[in-house]
Order: sequence, then structure tokens, then C-alpha cells
Amino acid sequence: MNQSKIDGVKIPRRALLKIGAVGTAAVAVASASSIVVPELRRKGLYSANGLFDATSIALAGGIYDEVFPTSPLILSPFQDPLNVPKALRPVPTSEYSGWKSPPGPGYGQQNSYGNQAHQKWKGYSDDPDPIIYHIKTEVSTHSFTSSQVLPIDSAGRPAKSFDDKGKTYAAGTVRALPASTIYGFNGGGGASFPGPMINAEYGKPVIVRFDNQLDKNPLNLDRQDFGAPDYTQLIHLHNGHTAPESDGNPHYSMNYGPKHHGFRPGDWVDQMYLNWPAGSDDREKQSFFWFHDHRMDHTGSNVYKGMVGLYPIYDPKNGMDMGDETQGLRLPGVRTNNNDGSFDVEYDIPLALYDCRLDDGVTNHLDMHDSMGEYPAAKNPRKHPEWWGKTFFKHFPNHGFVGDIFTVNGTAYPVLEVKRRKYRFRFLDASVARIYELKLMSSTKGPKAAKDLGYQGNELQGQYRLTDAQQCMKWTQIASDGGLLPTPITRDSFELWPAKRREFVVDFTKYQDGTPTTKGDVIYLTNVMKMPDGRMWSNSSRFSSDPRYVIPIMKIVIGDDAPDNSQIPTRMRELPPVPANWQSLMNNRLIFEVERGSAGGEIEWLINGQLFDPLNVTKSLRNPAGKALPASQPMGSFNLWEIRNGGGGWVHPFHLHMEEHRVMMRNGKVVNGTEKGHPDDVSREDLVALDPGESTIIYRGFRDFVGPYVAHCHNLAHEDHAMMFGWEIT
Amino acid sequence: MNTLVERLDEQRGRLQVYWSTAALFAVILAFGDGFWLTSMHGAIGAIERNQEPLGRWVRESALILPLFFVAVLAAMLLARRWFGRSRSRLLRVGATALLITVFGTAIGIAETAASSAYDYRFQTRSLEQMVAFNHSHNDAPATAVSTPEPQGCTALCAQKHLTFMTHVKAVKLGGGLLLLSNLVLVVWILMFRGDRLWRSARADEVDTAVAVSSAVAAVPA
Repeated sequence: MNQSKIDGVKIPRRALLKIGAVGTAAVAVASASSIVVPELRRKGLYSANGLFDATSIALAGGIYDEVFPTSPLILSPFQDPLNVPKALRPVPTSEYSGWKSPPGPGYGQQNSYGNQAHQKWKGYSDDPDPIIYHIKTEVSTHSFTSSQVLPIDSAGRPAKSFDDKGKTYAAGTVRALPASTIYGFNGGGGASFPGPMINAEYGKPVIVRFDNQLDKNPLNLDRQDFGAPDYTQLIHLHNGHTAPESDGNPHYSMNYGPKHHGFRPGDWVDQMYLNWPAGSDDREKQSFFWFHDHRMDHTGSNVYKGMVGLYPIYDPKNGMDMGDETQGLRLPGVRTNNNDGSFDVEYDIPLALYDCRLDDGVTNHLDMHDSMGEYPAAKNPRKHPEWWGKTFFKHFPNHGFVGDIFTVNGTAYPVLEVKRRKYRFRFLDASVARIYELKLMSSTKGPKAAKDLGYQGNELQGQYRLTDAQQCMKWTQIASDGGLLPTPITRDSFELWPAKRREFVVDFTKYQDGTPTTKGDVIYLTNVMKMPDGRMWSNSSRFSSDPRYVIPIMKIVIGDDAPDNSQIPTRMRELPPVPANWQSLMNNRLIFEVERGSAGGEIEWLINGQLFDPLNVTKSLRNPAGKALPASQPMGSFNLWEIRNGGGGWVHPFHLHMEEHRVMMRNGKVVNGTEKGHPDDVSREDLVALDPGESTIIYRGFRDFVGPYVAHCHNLAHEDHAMMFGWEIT
Repeated sequence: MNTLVERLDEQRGRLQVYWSTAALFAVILAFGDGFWLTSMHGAIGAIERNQEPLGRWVRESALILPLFFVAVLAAMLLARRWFGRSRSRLLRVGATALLITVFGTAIGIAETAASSAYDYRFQTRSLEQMVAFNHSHNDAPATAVSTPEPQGCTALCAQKHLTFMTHVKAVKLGGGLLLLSNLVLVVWILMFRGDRLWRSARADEVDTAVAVSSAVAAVPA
């Protein structure tokens, strides 16, 4: 037998080989444990099944073409002022009464098809007639910045650029950005992104006539290759307590009204927002909605293309929250009543976050929707140098779609000068998939371009970084999706998931350590959650924080003193009660599991293993009582629904229309509802934020209206690819 | 008892391979390839077959195990026939490793392709169902009057084609991965087994001597 000699000791060759094999295996296992296990834990995939899921994710990256452009670098960030929207003005009675089809409560008056009526014309019996708004959806343009830009590639190096006349510019040439084509809401002052803001009040119903004029293109703008190809629209007030005919959901629109994916060009619909809480219960009042397109299969592209509007709602009852800091809860806000019934509130600012990518002219355009022949004019697959600097979109990205430019109220890296006083900020995540974690931070050195710090690829997302940032102020949270909280909560940071709303009071007179601010001080609104793709974050405060990832989104400059009559209240709005015996509903609960589907394009995502069938209600998975119940709820009922994330290394912001819910159990444990628990478990929400593999059991009501609604993932790429189900109130 | 042992020895002698080595190769390759197959399925497979990957891996790997065993056995015997008389140990062992890798990978690729074909069947059914549910591709572009009508394979046909091409790509990628991982596993097993592959005459003698001495030692004095 062959033998080897080590230090005079003879070792059989086979033994040596065995030792080598065992040693190799041991090294491999040890390396895997130290590298793979922490990564799996961070992504919620630390299980036997999770190991397969993680491998599947890695393999998917090698199968699907996931090339996205790198947006040009905005050279002068934090110069453009934040767009603080003014309230949309209603249509005078004298004007709408002259319309060919004025709004009305009768049958046939609810839409241009003449086939529907409003289920309710008033919420409270003493409600006045609705205030009428008219919003046209139009093809228009939008500029994200006025700054010059430097075209760069994914390595951060200067890159060549192009224009729509066929000219090529050498690498290093500084350019002005062309305006992007949008499908925008026009409330009278031209279509804009975000669209108009309606300041609403409880007890004052509103009708918005959504008028589709997307077939008109007077400026002959290039519509590019995203946005519903048939120009239909279906507008949803997220999460208004509205009847199905005014809810703007595909389960309704395919069965009633347009009996189509949405309202076609030339059509209109009067959406009735009663501004009335569920069950007439004041504890169900909310405070901040937004409206956006919900057209089946094209919500993501239409929202990304600009169909976003804002809808703060105030509560004048006892002056509680009516935008007047001298009354009620005395939340920040100085109200100015306009002579047409609308009103503006100073120091009360909505902040709609949205991330986008701009075309670099060298990235190939190709996705499923091209294969389906939806954008023949684009002649994809091909590159589009003529679209350089305009918004880039991909319908079917395997790893999800995130942008690399962060905008607030439609402006990239804006600046807001604030008075030395308290403000109310209403945050909304209007992004396709990005989740943010927001902090208020100061920096001596200021923003540095990520490319100048040596970052490349996905690390360039956000474009700028703060290298010496320190948290300098805290947030005082006063409201969430479901309106005012029972008590304010002080937070260092907060997560903002797609479609979620979070409201905060920030006192700009002093820093968190009590030091007074001075005029000219600079504070940055920063994002500290790294999310390189649409699957989930890679780093955040909750999981594996990356202290180097501090992206300044908005610059806040402290200005002059200003009177401040606002206060931070100690008590706000009580939560509606949950019956003590809610656990008796557990056995008969409805169960919905959101899952990774197959790879065949439009069926990427499923619920309970089923495609989205817009014509019918879905069925629950078999519950502990052994029943697979249809998702039908009698009007006036309450129930427990379980929403599960079927895994696969994705997070899902799961939205249920029409009423808010309370989380009763998370991952099999009853929630304690304290501020130290999950942030969603202290308030009413309309969106379940599901971490990988997470499961929640929620309690909610089904009141006041009958008809079809939907529930769906609000990662818009998921929603558009079948992760939705129909349910109904009977 | 003696008769049984003799018969087994006779059988081993006829095949002239170490059964335990062949079995080890088969088990590790079947479960190794099964891991990639299950993971690949998680990336592109049909939802109907996409739950509980661990259970699926164990089940399908166990089912395919006999096929891997036959493939390994064939590779070892073929290698013995072609390279068994070579004086170079490196050639003998290396060629055997290569043959086992190739045979194992061929089984793995066939398994992946079969799985993809099965998935494709499910997925096309879902695509057809999706069309029945009136999803977007039924809509002609609103500007159809001013833009050319899409020609050729569009809508459902395009989705089927894209799905098919995804599976083709997956089989190609899977083939490469299987080849690489099988090579690593085969080399590792060879190290672990100390290149104990075939029962040469000399090896038989040694084994017999060991067996006899063990038997003698076991007899009470």
C-alpha cells in the first residue's frame, strides 16, 4: 500500500485522502456557516426550505435578464424647492350644473355608460350635497430636476448620452434632462406629478369626476413603452371607505360599470367619497388617503407614469383635527379657508416618496408586454437612445423594480425651508416596490456623490450619501394608514412600505438633545434602508444595518421663527374595540397565502395557488374547521383573515380594500399592541407588511356597502402579475 | 449462511466494483443533483409543484436514486474496461471520475428537462386560463389605427414562447451547474473512499485475507 511520510510518520495514502476529504468538507461547512447562515437569517430564510428558496433566488438571477439603466447623476441636488401642493379647487355649482351629464344620485348618473348609481349619496343624514371636483387624466410632461446632470454608467464612470434628434454626446458631457412623459391628473392647472391634492373633511362628501383624456396627445409626446396600452384608467382612493362603484377596483370594473379593465378614453366616472367613517363610528376616521390608478395588469406602469394624487382628510367634529392648531388636538396647521369651500393648511405638508430610473439610451428594452404586442410603436426589443434621460420602466422584472433616483413630491432631492416651529408631515410611499426607512440627520460634510466615494452598481442607488451623518431629531408619530393613533409615539426612524401612510410632528425649534436650532441649520431627511432590488431590503435598522448607507432624500433648512400654537397631544383617537372573544373566530377564519408563482410572465404571483380571477371571488385555504370558504362576507360582519407570506425571499405589502384592520396575531403569537412591538400592531392599517415567511391574523369589518372588492400585494409589479384576489360583501 | 456470503462474493467478483463506492456515488449525486433541480424549480417552476422544497427534494432524489446507481455502475465498469489496465493511476482514477461525472450529469440534465417539460405543461395551462380571465393582452393598443398591428407570435403565443425559452435557459444553466457540482462531488467521494473503485485480483486477495483473519480471530479458542 502506498504511504506518505510526514515528519517521519508514515501515513497510508488512502488515510491521507480521507483526511483531505473530511478537512475539505469541514472547511466548506464552516465557511458556509459563517457566510451563508447570517445571510439566510437576515433574509428570513434560515430554514431547510429557506436554503432552497435562497438558491432559487440566486439561480433566478442567472436566468432572467435584469439589466437596468443607471440614471444620470444630478449635479446640483437640494437646490429645487419642494413642491408643496395647494388644495384643488372644486367646480362651482354654476359650472357643473351645466354639464351634459351632471353628477346626481339617480340610476345612470354615476358613469358615462349610464349603467350604475351611487349606493349612497350621503353618509350622515345631515350631510350636505357633495362637493364636486373634476380631474382629467392627460398626457403631459414632468421634470424631476432643473439641475444639470452627468451621464454615468454602472461603474460610476462618465458615459455617453443621446437626444431625441439622434445626436450622441461624448462621455463627460454635462447635460440638461429632458422632461419625461407622464399620464397625469389635471385639476385645472395642467397635469402634474403628483397630481392635485384634495383637502377633504369628514361630513362633507366629495365627488370626483375622473375624466379619461389619455387618447389626446396635443404635444405629440412619445408615450414610450409603459402605461396601459389601451389608455384605460381605474382610479382608486386608497383606502377610502367607499362603495365598489367608487372604489376603482378590477373585480368591480370587470363585472359592472365599464365591464372592462378600466374606463376608456372619453369615458368618465363620478367617484363618491362620502368622507364618512365605517359604521358611522368616529373611531374609524382616517387622516390621509391617496388616489392612484388601479387598472388591472397596468397599475404599476400607470402609477409610475404619474397617476398619483393626494387626499388628506380632516375631522372638524369638535374641531378635533381640522387643520387649525388653535382647536381640538392642536396638531400643527394653520388653516386658510378659500371662498369656494376648499381650504389650505400651512405647516401641514404631504410628502409623497417615489423612486425612478432614467433611461441611459444603451439599455435594451424588452419585457413580456413587448412580446404581447402592447407597444408596437416602440419596436422592442431594442435600445432607445431617443429616450435618454426619460423615465425607464420594466413590467416584468424578476427581482422587482426599484429606482435609483429618490424624489419627494415629484422633485429629485428637493430642499424645504421650514420655519422654527412644529410641522405635520404626511408621508406616503408612492413607489412601485421600494421600502424606505427614514431618519432626520445632520451632516457637517454634506452630501457626497456615491460615485465619488467609489461605489458602483446597486450601491449607486440614491446617488448621494452622507458620510458623517448623525441622527439629530426624532419623529413623533401621530397617525398611520388608519388615522390618528391613540397616543403619539416617539421614533428614531420608521419604515415606509409601498402605499403606506405615516404622519409625524417634527419640532424644528430644537434638536433631540434639547439644543435649539438656529436659522440656516441644515437637516437631511435620509433613507437608511438599502433595497437593491424589489425583493426586499438588504440592510436596515431591523436587520443588518449598514452605517455607510445614508441617502439624503431632502434637505431641510431652518428658517425664521414663526408663531406656533400647536401642541403634541397626549391622547388622540381611541381604537375601535375588538370583541373579547375574537379568538372564537379563529377556527373559521379565512386564510390567504401569497406565493411566488411560475415564470410565465403574467402569472408570476399567485394567492392560494390561484391566478387573479377578476370575475369571481376567491376561496380561502382550508381553515382549522376544515372549510375552504369563499371570500364573501355578509354586510355588517366582522371576521379574522389570515394573510401568509408563502416565502421565497420576498416581502409583500398586502393591501385590503375598504376598511382597515387590526393585527391580532403575528407569526402565531398574539400581539401586545405596544409601541415596542411591530410598528403596524399599534394602529389600524390597510396594508399588512409581510416580512419573508411571516404570517398575520387580522380582524376587520365589512360594513355599509355591498359588492365586489379586491385585496392584493401593493408591490405594484406583484399586483400587476396576478397577486390579487376578489372578495365581496353580500 | 456461507452459501449466501459465497454468492455475494461471487456477484461482487463478477461485477468487480466496490458496491459501497457505487452506492455512495449514487446517493450523493442523486441528492446533490436533486438540490439543484429543486432550487431551479423554485426559480422557474410551476406553482402547483412549488411548495415545500425540502420534502420535494427528498422525495424526488430518492425516486431517481436507482437510475443514478445504474449510471454510476455503468460508468465504473466502462472505465474499468477502457482504462483498468493502464499503468497510470491518474488516468485510471481520473477517467473514472470523468465518466461518473458525465453519466451522472446526463441523468441530472434529463431529470431537469423532464421537470421543465412538466412545469411548462402546467404553466401553459395557467396562461390559457389567464387569457380566459381577460388579462391585459386581449386589449389592442388604443392607437392601433396609427401604429402597426403586432405581427407574428404575440399575446398567448408570445407568453408560451417566453416561458419555453426560460426553461431552455434554465436547462442550459442547470446543465453547467450539475456538471460542475458533480465533478466536485465525485472528486470528493474519490478522496473519501481513497480511490477504492474496482476489485482487482490483488484487491480481492487482500480482502479475502482480511476476511479470513477476522473470521479466525472471531473463533473461540
